Amino acid sequence: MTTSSVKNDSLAIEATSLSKRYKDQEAVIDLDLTIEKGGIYALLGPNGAGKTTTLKMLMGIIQPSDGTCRVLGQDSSHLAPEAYQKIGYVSENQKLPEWMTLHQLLLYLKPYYPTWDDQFLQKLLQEYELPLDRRLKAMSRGMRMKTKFLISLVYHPELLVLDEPFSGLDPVIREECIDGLLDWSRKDRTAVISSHDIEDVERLADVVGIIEKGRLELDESVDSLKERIRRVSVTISENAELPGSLPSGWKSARTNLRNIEFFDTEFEANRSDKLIHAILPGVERIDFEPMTLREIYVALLKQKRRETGGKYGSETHR
Amino acid sequence: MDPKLIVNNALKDLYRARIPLIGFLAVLLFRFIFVMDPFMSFGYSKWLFSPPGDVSEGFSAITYGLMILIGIIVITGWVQSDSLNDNEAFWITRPAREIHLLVAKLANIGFVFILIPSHLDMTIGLLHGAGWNAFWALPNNLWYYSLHFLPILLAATLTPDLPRMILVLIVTIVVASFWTALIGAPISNEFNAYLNNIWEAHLQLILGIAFLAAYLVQSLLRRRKTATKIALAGILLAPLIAFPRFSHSDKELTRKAVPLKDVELDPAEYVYQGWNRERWDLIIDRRFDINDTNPNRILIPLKTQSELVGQGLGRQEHSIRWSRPNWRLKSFFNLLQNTGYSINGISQEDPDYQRGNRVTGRLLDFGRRERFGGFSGKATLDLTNYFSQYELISLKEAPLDEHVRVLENGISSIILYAGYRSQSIEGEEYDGKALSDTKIKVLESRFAESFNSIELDHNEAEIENRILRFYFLYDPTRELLAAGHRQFNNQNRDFHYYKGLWTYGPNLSKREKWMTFRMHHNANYTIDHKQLKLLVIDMKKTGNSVLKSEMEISDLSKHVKAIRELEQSNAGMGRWTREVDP
Repeated sequence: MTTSSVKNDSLAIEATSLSKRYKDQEAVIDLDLTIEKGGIYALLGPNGAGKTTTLKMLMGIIQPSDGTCRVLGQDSSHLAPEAYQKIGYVSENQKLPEWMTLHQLLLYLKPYYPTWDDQFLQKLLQEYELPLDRRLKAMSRGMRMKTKFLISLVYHPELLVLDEPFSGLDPVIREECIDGLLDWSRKDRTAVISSHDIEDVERLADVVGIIEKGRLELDESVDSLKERIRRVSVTISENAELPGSLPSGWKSARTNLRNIEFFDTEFEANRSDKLIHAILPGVERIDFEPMTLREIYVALLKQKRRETGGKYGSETHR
Repeated sequence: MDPKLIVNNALKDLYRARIPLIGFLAVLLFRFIFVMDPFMSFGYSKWLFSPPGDVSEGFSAITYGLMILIGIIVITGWVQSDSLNDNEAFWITRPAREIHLLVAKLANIGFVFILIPSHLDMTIGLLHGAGWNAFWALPNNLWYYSLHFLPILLAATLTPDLPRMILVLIVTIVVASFWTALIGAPISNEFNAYLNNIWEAHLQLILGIAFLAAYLVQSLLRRRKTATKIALAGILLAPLIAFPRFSHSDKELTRKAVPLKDVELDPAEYVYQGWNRERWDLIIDRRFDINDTNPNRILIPLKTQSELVGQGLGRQEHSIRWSRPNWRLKSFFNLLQNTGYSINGISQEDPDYQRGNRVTGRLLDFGRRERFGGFSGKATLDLTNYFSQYELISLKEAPLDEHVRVLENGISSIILYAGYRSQSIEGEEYDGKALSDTKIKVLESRFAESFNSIELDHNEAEIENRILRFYFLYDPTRELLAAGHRQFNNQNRDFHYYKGLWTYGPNLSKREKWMTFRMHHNANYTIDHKQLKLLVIDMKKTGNSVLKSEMEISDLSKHVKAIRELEQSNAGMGRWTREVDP
């Protein structure tokens, strides 16, 4: 029990076999997710993959059809109001009380949060350059999103859940929000961010999960992912004959005359080099290139869709 | 529950709706001044501040409509700004307890839309001397306004925005109409008026509210256990269903104290008595000579009394308003005057003759006509007096010990056992072993009970005679006679549900099986009941006479003035009686 408690205390989120069905459509399927406290976890996936549904289940906004989820040690289906004093939620779809001015909104929210930090509030107000006396209805989309960030950061939540927070923001505001988030995350706090915009996430995320068609296909730290997956380009001699099958860790293999390209998803410098020489005949040259998170994401999704007969399944594959 | 957070939410909602709420309060103030006549109690004319004619009633209807409209806008805004059905609602991911929101919104609605209007109504009652009755009527007023505004709260939870909310209201009204037409009508019948009313008017609304309340609780407390939801739904619904049982009718607001100047007989002559709870009886004592009296018949003159019982303070045109001065005419049997008996001075309303004996026409219409453009000419009082002529059939002394049981203080109440009467319900025919084995039909009468007897004429054709039977308790030592009458009980003439929304209600009454003989109010002597005799007098009605007369109000004033002078000089029995309620 003690061991379990210690283990659970170190987790910000622990989801087990989480599923959500809407009539005949399965939005999230059997999702297991463990997010430790500290750092930023990015949930990536295309539109409609199930990111928002997952986050809503984590926040207790909707109830899972199956499975359980614990957030900061509490069952997310029965989160007490006090739990939300430690959780911040920013969503592009969340409706603000637009009839209020920012000042009125802050006055209204303050009594709810014992950890409300007025000094931090002043700092955020200066950084975000938000007008206190303007009604939220009269604010631009960017200002409203900055307002959502502000009212979710000002009470120093232990966990911040962000659902597509940068969607549709202009670059300057996006940078301001990202900077604020990075600054906040340095204080050993946890953030879960869903996005389909990889560049932003790449700067932020410590760990990334990729969700596709309701299933969590990958859950790994960004560093590990970049270390593990490389783009490999091999030049072989003219008369060399290609083998009938390739190792399972080589994904999306393509050939062009004497060149073979693939993603090695199990890259280890020495081992991969030896394996290429063993599998491919007449190897003349090997290049291992590190990949960006975006490239890894696209590659993995394409590969997944090929395997399931999706959009890219008809591409060349030897 | 944290009170600070409830206040926080309540203030937020109040601030949000501050502009329509100012409008709402302005409408209330307007109603208070221009519809409810508050200044009348300060001695000003009833219509000093009220516009004349239909305009005042128009104001009432318009302000009522505005109250409802503002209520819909404000309450819908309050509920839907913290939407219960929207996953993206702002409050869902904040540490706001649902109960904080619910209590805050209920508190605001209760305060603004229920408490303030109810207390304005109560204030009107107090200003006009209704005394404690104004307080007793408060639950009814609270219920009245709750019925207007709580369903709006409940319906607003179903809908995401104001247009759809209004659509739901329209659909609800249509459905309710169909409910009434399709379900209410077939089960309605004369036999069960009470259920008829319940079904037609009330149960559908209660069911509708129950449904909406259940939905509200379900929505609000979706994170709660089922048992908690059911319990809270029960708590929420219980007052809606049970509260009418504790409410009081608007009649409680009828003022007992009526300043004479309000009647406008002679305003200059009388000093306004303020809020004292007084009742004045105006007795118009007129003597009539009937020339064609048959010496074989007993003439029962009905001495006319008009009692100013107060002014109705009730719901009219959707607001608490004064109704016109309310006179009730009393008739009084001065029975058997010529037989040597004296009748105790019982001042008792006689419903049999009240319909026929009215202070008719112009006096009652006086106030109303003034409102509708002024009154010209001399005000006159029409008196229409009906006299009934009876033929004495029998006067018997019934052995008291066999037929009565002494109940109160030796004499005041007796029970008639089988053989004379048994318990009966108004209008219901029953067979009883009466004196002449005739079929008895009890009619609505206090002093006399009538039954029909059948005789056969020489052609053996049936002749039906209506016999009136009077019971008297006779004290031979003092030659006093007390007329007996049966009380009615179980009266349910004032139906409390939704007072003001529906004016009709069941009218149930039943005769007591016991008969009361009222002794003279000055009979402070001890009566030995063993000396008392029960007189049973049967009479047959042979005809009616009608006498109409007219007097001018000014004459009446003079008349009243003369009587007052008599009273003040202790020169005799004054006809102004002044009773002060305890």
